[in-house]
Amino acid sequence: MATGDSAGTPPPPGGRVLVSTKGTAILGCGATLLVVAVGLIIVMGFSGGYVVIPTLIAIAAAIALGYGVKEMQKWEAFELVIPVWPVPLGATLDAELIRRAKTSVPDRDIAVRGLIICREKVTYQVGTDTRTERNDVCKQPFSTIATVNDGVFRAPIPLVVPLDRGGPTIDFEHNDITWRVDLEMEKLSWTSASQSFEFVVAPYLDTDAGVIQDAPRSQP
Amino acid sequence: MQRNADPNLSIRIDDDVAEVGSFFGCDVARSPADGESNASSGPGKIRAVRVSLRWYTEGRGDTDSNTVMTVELPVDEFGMTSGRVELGVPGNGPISYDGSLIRVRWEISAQTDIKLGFDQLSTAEVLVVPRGGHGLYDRAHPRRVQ
Repeated sequence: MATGDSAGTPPPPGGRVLVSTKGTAILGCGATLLVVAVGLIIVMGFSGGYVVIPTLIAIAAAIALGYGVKEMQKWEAFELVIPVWPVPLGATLDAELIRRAKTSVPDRDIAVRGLIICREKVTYQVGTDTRTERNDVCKQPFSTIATVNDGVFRAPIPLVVPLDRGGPTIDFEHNDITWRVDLEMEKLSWTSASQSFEFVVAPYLDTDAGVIQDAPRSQP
Repeated sequence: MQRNADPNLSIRIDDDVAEVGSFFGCDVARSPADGESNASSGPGKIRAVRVSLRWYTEGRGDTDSNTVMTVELPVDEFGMTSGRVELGVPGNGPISYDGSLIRVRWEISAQTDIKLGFDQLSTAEVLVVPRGGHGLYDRAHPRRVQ
């Protein structure tokens, strides 16, 4: 899940750039796993234990780590440029997914499939257990084509927040509403084939949205 | 108004729908009924009338709630008061919401603070809609049947 401000792309006026942290998270997990596995190998080796499984884990973690490092040497992190922040209810925004190459990469087109999701999440206490329930009240699919040109990956992302499903972002102790856009990309490595960016929906209407003019008046 | 309401208290809300960042305006008045001398129990029994704006959640999850503003109106020795109250709605909401697991409701409550007695509480449901949504936004929850 992506958070944070821009690293490379400057945010548009009134907008924001969300930076994917997935690559560094995978690297962090891989490194941790590698350290744990090596530690287990050392401890179990000295105590005469069975070191085959920790060795296999260490090899897998090292491969993943090397692959991730190679990927990060080749590409910057994904960035989602959102022109208006926070996103108003009813808005249809032209966001853009950008990734810059650090080395020379061939020009090509990449199919991108996406899903805009509004999720309600609640927690409640049953005895001493805390239970959680989630429901996606809005799932809006879209597809688009990304182009890689001159070492820059760009994909137009239609960021649509419908008025009739979901509501503004809330973050209470037991009740949350979150919005995010999930993206699946073809022909990319496993570390970057899927990305997810969480965004904030504000409690005000997009006055440019034609749908609002057609909406009926609130009724008792 | 309900829930052990103060029969001598009247609150007239200008508009029971408000946008985030705006306010609910209301006129509050308490005039003791004939024969009542400050809550019928002696002088100084009624200490104040408090008018509050609060939201709370309903639904599958445990309840979250917050009182966003409280205005205290002093009463005279006869338990009388009258005044204009404006209760501001925060600019960041939440709005009244009707989801599948979560419902957010707003209410204005008036509490008559009685010394050494049970306070009397009256509530009225109101709707908070997104900014720019007054008269347009129809996604708020249905009103509670009273």
